[in-house]
Amino acid sequence: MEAREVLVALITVATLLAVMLRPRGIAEALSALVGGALVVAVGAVPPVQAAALLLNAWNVFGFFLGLMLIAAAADHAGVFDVLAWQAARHAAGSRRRLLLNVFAIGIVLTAFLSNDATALVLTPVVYTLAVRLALPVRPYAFACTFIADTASFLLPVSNPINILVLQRFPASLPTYLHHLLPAALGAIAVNVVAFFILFRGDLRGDFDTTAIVRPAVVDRAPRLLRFTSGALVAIAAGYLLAAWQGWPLGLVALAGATVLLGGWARWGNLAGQKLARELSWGLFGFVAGFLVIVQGIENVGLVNGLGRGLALLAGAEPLRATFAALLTGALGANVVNNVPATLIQLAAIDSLPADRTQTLLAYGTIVGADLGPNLTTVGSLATMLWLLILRKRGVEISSLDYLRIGVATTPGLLLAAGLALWWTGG
Amino acid sequence: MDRGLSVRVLLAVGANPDPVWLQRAVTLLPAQTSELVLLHVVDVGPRHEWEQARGRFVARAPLRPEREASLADAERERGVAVLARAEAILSGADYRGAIRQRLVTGRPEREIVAAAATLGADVIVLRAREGAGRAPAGPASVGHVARFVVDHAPCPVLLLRGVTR
Repeated sequence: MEAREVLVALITVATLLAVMLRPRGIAEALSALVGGALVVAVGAVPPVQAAALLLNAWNVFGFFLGLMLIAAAADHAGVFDVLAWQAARHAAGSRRRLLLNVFAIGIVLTAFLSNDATALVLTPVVYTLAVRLALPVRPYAFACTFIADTASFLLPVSNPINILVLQRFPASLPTYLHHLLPAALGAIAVNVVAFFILFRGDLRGDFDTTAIVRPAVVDRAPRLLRFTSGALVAIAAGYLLAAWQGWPLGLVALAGATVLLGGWARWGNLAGQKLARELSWGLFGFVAGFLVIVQGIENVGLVNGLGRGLALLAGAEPLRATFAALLTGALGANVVNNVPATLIQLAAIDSLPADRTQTLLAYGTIVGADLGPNLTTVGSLATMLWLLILRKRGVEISSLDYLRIGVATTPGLLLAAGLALWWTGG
Repeated sequence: MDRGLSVRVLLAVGANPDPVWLQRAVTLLPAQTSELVLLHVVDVGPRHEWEQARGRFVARAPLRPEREASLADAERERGVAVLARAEAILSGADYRGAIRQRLVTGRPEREIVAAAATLGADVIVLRAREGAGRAPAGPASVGHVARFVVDHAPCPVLLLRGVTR
């Protein structure tokens, strides 16, 4: 190994550890940016290449920005409140039907607005709804966070991870759907059935429909709500069209966000600073840092070793290759974080010959990295272990229910999706 | 303070007060009961679990203050409703003594034990396990809340179960 290879390997491992353990609460984005800067400083990535790389990823960054703006605008306009209200009204007092409705909303929102919108914005709305209806909170709130991951490979826009994968391995919408739609539907079916079994005790019986309250936002800003709902439908159609035509999805997201903000300026009270606080700017630094680090791994040739390792795991059998990518993707998502883990895995796959196995590996990575977080749900085993240590020391930690459900459902989800992917992979 | 033979009872009520078991609880209260404190704990468990799940999203932003407030309102309103319903059931079950309501937020098992200590309760009364109709004797008949309370309570504990409809 050359000195530079060793340096890049050390920087990568140190950055991953910093992201996992967040020593002294250092933000993940800062660690990633420092790691990226170090990779440039040791000469593994020339500054010009780093700049070109980041400029080239404008579609990814534009998509992330548009995505967050769209979710925030929809949230402020009350779209999520109205959806939760309709879910309750159409449940006719049945706890089971309400859960089914929550799943349905979660699936549609995830498909078009991404898993973040469902897990971060829909969950608190559904949580509040369950409290108001005097229902057990867990089945409904967990349904949102779980389906956010399970439904997140339905479409390219359903998870930012998919955009990262498609940036390297572009695919037309029909090809994408051919490979991933059956897998997504299989995983969703397993997820829904598993919840009805696991929470059967909580789901017995009815709820009081008189406690359903019409959200105040419906009367407060009806025009903004109507405009936003219409714009969201248009954005969804725009995503499908762009994915079909191979146009950059980042453009659609940004255009959609602009339209929504326009409506907000017209009928709402647009407060730029307030909105800016609700966005997670760290995401950009996080992704940028790891894009540069992974380029460093590729430049010094470390990626060839990873590629050979993955090829060894994958073997020649399609079934084995599918599950090799699926499980390494899921493992990476749980041990580190699915963004850097996916970027590294993609670079390794890219170093392999372009054949059917490579295609299977790329799609397997999407499924593994998207579904994997359901396992621990805190996304990282390191965090999980830390929580367990705290618990032993008497600090009250309550993620074990969550973990129990993750452990009970995730293997079934991975198995169903993996088999479907293998079946369509030929 | 010497309260003589008077007995202060802490009655812990879950999220869905069941008339059958509350009426049963009244019949089992000590004759010297001078004060009955109805306690309901708004369980922060699911909230904590969700907060941890949020942690893995790099795109996470803090929960909007409006959402935070609306959730807190909903939880408080539900807690108040639970206690009012429990008190109505007790009054309907011919309990004539003084009733005090107490609504707290936290982990139910810890808050029940803590309330018993602060109030100087002489006995804690609670269900062995929450949930309708699930109370046959057996290895899973005592839920984690009741189990913790039995382990940590500063006073005697009366566990109610096996209530048949």
